[in-house]
Amino acid sequence: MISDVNLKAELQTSSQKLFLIDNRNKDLLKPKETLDEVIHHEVKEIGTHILICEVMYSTGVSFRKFFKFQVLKPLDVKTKFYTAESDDVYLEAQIQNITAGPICLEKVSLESSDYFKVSDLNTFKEDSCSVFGNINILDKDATRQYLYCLSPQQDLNSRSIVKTLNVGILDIIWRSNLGEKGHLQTSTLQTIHVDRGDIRLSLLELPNIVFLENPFHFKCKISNISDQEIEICINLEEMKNLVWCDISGKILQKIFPSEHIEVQLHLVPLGVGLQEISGIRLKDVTTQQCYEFDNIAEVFVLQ
Amino acid sequence: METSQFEENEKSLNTYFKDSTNSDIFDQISKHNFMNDSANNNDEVIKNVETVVDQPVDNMSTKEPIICRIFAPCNDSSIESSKKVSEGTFFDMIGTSDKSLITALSSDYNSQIKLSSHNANFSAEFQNDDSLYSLSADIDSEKYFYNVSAGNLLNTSEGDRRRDAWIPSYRTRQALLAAAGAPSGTFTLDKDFLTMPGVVLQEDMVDNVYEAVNHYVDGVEAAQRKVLTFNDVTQDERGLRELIQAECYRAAVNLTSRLLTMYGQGVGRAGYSSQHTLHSIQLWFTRISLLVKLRSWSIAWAESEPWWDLDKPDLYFQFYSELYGGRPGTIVPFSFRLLLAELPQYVHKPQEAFKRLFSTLSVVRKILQNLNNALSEDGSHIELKDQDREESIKLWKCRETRILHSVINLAFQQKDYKLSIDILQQLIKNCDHEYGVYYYKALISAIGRIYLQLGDLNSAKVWFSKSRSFKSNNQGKNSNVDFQELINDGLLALSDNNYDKAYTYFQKASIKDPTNIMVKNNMAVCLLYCGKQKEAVNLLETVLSTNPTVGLHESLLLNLCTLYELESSSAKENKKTILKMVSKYKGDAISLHCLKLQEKE
Repeated sequence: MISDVNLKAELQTSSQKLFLIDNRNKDLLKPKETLDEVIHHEVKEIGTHILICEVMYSTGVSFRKFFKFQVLKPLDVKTKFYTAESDDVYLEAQIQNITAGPICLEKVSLESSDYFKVSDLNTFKEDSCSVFGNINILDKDATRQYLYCLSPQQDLNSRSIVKTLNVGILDIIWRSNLGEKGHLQTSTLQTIHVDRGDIRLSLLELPNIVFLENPFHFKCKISNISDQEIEICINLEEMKNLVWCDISGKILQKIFPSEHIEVQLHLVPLGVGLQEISGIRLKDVTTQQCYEFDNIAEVFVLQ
Repeated sequence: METSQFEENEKSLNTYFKDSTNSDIFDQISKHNFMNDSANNNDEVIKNVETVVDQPVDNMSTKEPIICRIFAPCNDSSIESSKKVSEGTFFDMIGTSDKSLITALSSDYNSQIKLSSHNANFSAEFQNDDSLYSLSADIDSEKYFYNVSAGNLLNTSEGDRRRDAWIPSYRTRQALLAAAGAPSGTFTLDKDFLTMPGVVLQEDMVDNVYEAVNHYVDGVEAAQRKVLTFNDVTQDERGLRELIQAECYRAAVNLTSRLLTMYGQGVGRAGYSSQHTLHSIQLWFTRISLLVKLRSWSIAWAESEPWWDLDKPDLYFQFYSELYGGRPGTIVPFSFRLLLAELPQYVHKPQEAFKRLFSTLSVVRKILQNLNNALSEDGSHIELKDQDREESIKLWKCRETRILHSVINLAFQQKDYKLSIDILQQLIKNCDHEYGVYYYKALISAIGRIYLQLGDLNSAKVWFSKSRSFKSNNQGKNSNVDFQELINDGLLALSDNNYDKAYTYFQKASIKDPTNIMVKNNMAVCLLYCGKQKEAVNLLETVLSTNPTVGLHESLLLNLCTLYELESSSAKENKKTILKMVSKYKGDAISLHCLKLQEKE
C-alpha cells in the first residue's frame, strides 16, 4: 500500500520545457492498483524531445523515467511569389512529403491577411474537383504545387508606403496511416511590395496569333496612380523580331490622378515563333523619372 | 521559406513515448482484421494448405490426386462448421496471413519514429489483411457455390481439362510435340528444359516453443510439452495432414523433406533431373506454403527458384504420355502458380512479384479469350458443349479475379494505394452478380478501408456508406454484413481518435461474434488509449482463459505482452505464464516474436 502518490510529466525540447502533467495526485494506491494517465500534446518543434516522468510517493521517495524521441520534419514547404502588372500577387506553394509513407492532405489553405483577397486556384471551376486528381494522396517524396491568386483589397490600390506586406499563413492539415493527423502552419508569408512608381501599364487587347510581315496593333492602358496630374513621353525601343510602327518620343495627353488613358501601338513581325513585346519606356516629363516595361506580353508569329 | 511551426496530434505523440511497443499495439488493431473470419476455426494453416490443394474443381473430380485428398476431411468440416465465409478466408490465405506476419516484424523496425508517419507498416497490414479477408472470403464462397451448383454434373476428363489447362510458351510447345512424337523412352531433353528442384534446407526445423520453454522456464516444464514430430506420424500424406492439423508446421516441413527425398528431390538435389508427378508437385506446393506460413521466406524463395515460370515441358501431362495417356494441361496447380507469383514480395522483390502476377494474368486472359472465341482453353479446336464452355469461363474468370486480388494486396503492401483502388474499382465495375451482394459490398468496403489507411477519412466514409446502401436480400448473411459495418464504423471512429466511440462499435460487433479475436484486440487497444490499461489486460486475459486454442493467437499475444511491459516489472513472469500456455496448447507453428522474450532478457 502506497500513499500520497504524485505524478509529474514534462517535455523537454531543444528550446523549452513544457509541463504536461503537473501534480496528478492519488492518496492511496492499493497493491496491484495503477494510476493511469494518457497524455495528449501537440508537438510543435522538430528535433530531440525528452519526456520526463517523475513519480513521488510516501515520504518523499521518488524516481524518474526518461523517454527520448526524435521528431523529424514531415513536410517541406517552399513558396514563390509572382506579382502581376494588375497588382495581383500569385503565390505558388510547393509542398513536399518528406515522411516515410504516403499522406493525405486533408486541408491546405491560405489564411490571408486583410490586405488581400484570396482565390484558390486548385480546383476546377466547372465541377470544383481537385486539380490533383480524385484520389487525394501525396506519395513519399512527392511534391504538389498549390497556386493562389491574391488580389489587393481596394484601399491598397493607391500607392502605399509599406514595402513588405503580410500575405498570410499556409495552414496544412494532413493525415497518414489510419487517420493519424498532422498539422503545420507556416510563419507569416511576406511579399515585397514593389513600388513601381506613379505609372502603371497594362494590356487591354492583343491578338494571339499574327502573320509574318503583316502589321498588327495592340491596346494598352496607362494609369496614373499618384495624386498629381502627369504628362508622359513615350519612347519605343528596338526589339529583335518585332519592329515598332509608331512615333517614339511622342508626348501623350495629360493623365489626371487616378485616371488612365488608352494607347494603341503598332508592330510588324519580322521573325516567326513566339515573340516578346518589350521596350516600352514611359517618362514622366515633370520629374524626368523613367519607367521601363519589358516583356509585357507575347504573340505567336506565323508565316 | 522555412516552415516554422509544427503541430502534431496526440496519437503520434503517444507512440513516441511508448516507443516501439506502442506501435506494436497499434499495429495489432490492424493485424487482427484478417482474423475476422478465421477466428471460428482457430487453425488457419490447415485451411491454407487445404485451399492450396483445393482447386475449385477438385471437389467434384473423382480422380483427384491423392494429396488433394489429404486435406479433404478438414475441408468438409470447415465448410460445415463455419460455412462459406470462413471457409473462404484462406482462399488466398498464404498471402493474407503472411502479410500480417510481416507486420509483426516490421513494427520493431519502425520504432524510430518520424514526425507523422510511423504507423505506416503495420496499419497497412491491417488494411491489407482485411480487405483481403473480405475479398477472399467472398470469392471463395462463390467458389463453393460454383462447386455445389455445377460440380457433380461434370465428367472427370472434362473437369481435368478445364482445371489443368494452360498455354505453354512456343519453345515448350515444340518440345512437347517432339516428346509426343518420339517412341516411348527415347526422348530426352536438355537440362535447360527441365525443372530440377531440391530441398535447400539442410537441417530439420526445430520446435521453437520447446526451445523457448527450456531456455526461459526450465527443462521440467519443457519436458511436459506434447507436440507431434514427423516421427510420430505415418511417413506419407496422411501423416502430413495430421501434422498440419495439429499446427505442427515445422514438423510438417521436415516430413516433406523426407517424402521429397523419395522422389530424388531431397537435400542437395537441385540441379539434378528427377521425375515429377502430380503427387510430388503437390508436396512441393505444400512445403513452400508451409515455409511461407512460417515466414521462412528466404528458404521458400531459394527452394522455389527452379520452378518459375512453371512452363518447362516436364510440368505438362503431355510430357509423360505413357503415364497420363495424352491428357492435356499442366501438372502445376493454379494455386501453386499464384503462390510462386506472390512469393518475391516477401524477399523484397515487389517488382518481380508484379511481373509474375501480370504474366500469369495475361495467360489467364488469353485462355478466356480462347473460350470466348469458340476454342478450348489452350487454343486448340476441341468441341466444347455450351454448358462446359460456360463452366470453363466461370472457372477462369474466378481465377482472373484471384490474380487481381493478389495484385491489389501486393500494391497495397507497397503502399501503392492508387493502384489498389484502381483495380478494386475495375473489379466492382465488372462484378458478376452471381458472386452475390455480399461480395460486392465487401469490394466497396475494401476501398473504404484503403482510404482509411491512407488517411482520407472523408472518402472512407463515403465508400462505407455506399457499401451500406446495398442491402443483402439474403437474411442469413445479414448478421455478417452488420458485423462488417460495425467494424468499419469502429475503425473510422478510431481514426478520428474517438476511442470511446470506437470501443462501443467494437463491443457491438463482439456481441455478434463473441469468438472473434480481432474485435477483442481492437477493444483492448481502445481501452488502452482511453487510459484503461488494466481493463485492457483483463479483457485479453479473459479471451485467453475462456478459449486458449483460439486466443493464443500471435497478434493477441503481442498486444498482451506489450501491455504487460507497459504495466509493471512483473512482465517477465507474466510472459512466462503465457509461454507455458503456448507450450500446452499450441503446435510448433507459432512464432514467438510476439512474446518479446528476448528484449527483457
